[in-house]
Amino acid sequence: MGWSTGFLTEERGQWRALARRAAEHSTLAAELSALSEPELPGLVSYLFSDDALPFLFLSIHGPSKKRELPEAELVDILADLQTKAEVVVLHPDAMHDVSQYRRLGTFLAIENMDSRKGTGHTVEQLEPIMAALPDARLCFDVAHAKDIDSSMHEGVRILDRWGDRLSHVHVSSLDSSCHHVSLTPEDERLFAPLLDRCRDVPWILEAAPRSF
Amino acid sequence: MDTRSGAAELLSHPEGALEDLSKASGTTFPNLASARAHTPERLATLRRDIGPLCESDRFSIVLFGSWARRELTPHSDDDWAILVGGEASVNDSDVEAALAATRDCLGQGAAKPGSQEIFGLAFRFDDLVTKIGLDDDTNTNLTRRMLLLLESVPVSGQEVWEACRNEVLERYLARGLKSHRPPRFLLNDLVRYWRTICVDFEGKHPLGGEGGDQKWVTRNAKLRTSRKMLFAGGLIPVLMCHLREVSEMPEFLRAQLHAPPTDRLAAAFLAEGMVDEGARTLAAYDKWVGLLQNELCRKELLELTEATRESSRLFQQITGLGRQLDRGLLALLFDTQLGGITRNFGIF
Repeated sequence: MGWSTGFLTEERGQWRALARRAAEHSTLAAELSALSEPELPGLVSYLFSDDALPFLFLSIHGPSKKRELPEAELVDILADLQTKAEVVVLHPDAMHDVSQYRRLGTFLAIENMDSRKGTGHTVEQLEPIMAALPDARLCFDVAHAKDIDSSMHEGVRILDRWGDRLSHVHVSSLDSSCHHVSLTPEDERLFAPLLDRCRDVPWILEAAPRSF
Repeated sequence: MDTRSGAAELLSHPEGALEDLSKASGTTFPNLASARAHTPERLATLRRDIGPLCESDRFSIVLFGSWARRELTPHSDDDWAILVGGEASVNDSDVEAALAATRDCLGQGAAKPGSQEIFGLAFRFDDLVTKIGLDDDTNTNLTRRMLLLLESVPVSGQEVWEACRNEVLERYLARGLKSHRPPRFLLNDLVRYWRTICVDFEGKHPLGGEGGDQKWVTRNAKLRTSRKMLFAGGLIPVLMCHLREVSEMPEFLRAQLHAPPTDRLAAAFLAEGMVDEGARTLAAYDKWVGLLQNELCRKELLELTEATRESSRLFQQITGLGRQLDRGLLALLFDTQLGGITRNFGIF
């Protein structure tokens, strides 16, 4: 289990400090999150600096906001990160010419989306992109799955369909505006059967744990 | 596998468990499947070509590694040896004739067996049983013994091979066994073998980085994948002995070791109810086998050095697959009923 730097808002853009904060809690796994495109150059510079990152599993969350780069250029940049991290996560609704992403191969993980996004919620919506990118993996966001279907049936379907391509899991609860918040005891119970199927992959916390 | 009896049955007969895992998870393992189809064909051809010339009740021509794992690719090494049992000597004329016949059929060109005098020759079986531990148990002896148990298949002399294998197993199980405890002697030697492989990997690497070892990166890639599968394929069945009475252990281990390691692991994942985790773990291994089947990938690995491997996407992909394999195996070893056994027997 490890932390996403996405919720460490005070230090946004200060990659060395963010990595240190994440490592204070776990060196087993971390996700360095550059959700907004202007954050990406700083993250790339940091990853190619001399800092040796201590994480056994490192994921990069690629940009879905303030996108300006042509997709081919973005993919070039992300492809260069393959020697620095195990996987890069992208939101399906932020991908337009899907064929551009094919060369990322198994380095790419597609995340299932919450209801604020236009697509990527269900098996049917994810199917075309996962079929077009047969080597891409799945980043399963369990809170997003609940937002789409609070019975968790859709989450079960997503794991049934692409569980063999699962790279890691995003764990948190969501508030009423779909912002990631600490995992609630109710959600912990609700998510348990799904998370029980994911014992071998890293769990990335997208909000500070309750006890923190 | 959700019932206790179903799990027990699966562990008693693990042959074919990879296919069961594929059915249970809906995951295909295309590279393993093609290798599994290819290996018996090649073995049958070999048995037809040299078997009749070399059939004997005094020795057995044995293949190791990918041949026994049923993961043969067109580029695999032919790691073979002649196992000499009974009263026979490695210098006997029939053994020498078998050596010559086998050399004509196996290990040609790039398939040449390793150069450490472990393969490509004849050796007496006795040392494997009489020299366990202490100074006389050389790396060569340890390697032969472990590979005979974990990853070997006979080309000829099936009965000799079977008898030798049983004798090694019986030596490990001869005393000190307790019901519902892993056999410690075997466990310790198995762990010693894995650690020896890892230490020797460093030992083969000249100090100062760049040396003449062209296969260093390939060896490193195999350590993360195939060699780990070799170790895990022995470790899991040995730990699983905690489910057995003393009287059941020999037969249990014989059945386990008769199946390829990927079946042993698939059976363990299924028996522990870890279908998803098992599918991911074996899928990662399947991808590695796919890379081995690809000549360009093998060539690239041979061209990489310690200095250049970090910037290689292929090498990064392989390290990623190795980590997926680690995570799956660690989940099996620690996050299941095996957890307590691993904790209590795996370290000390």
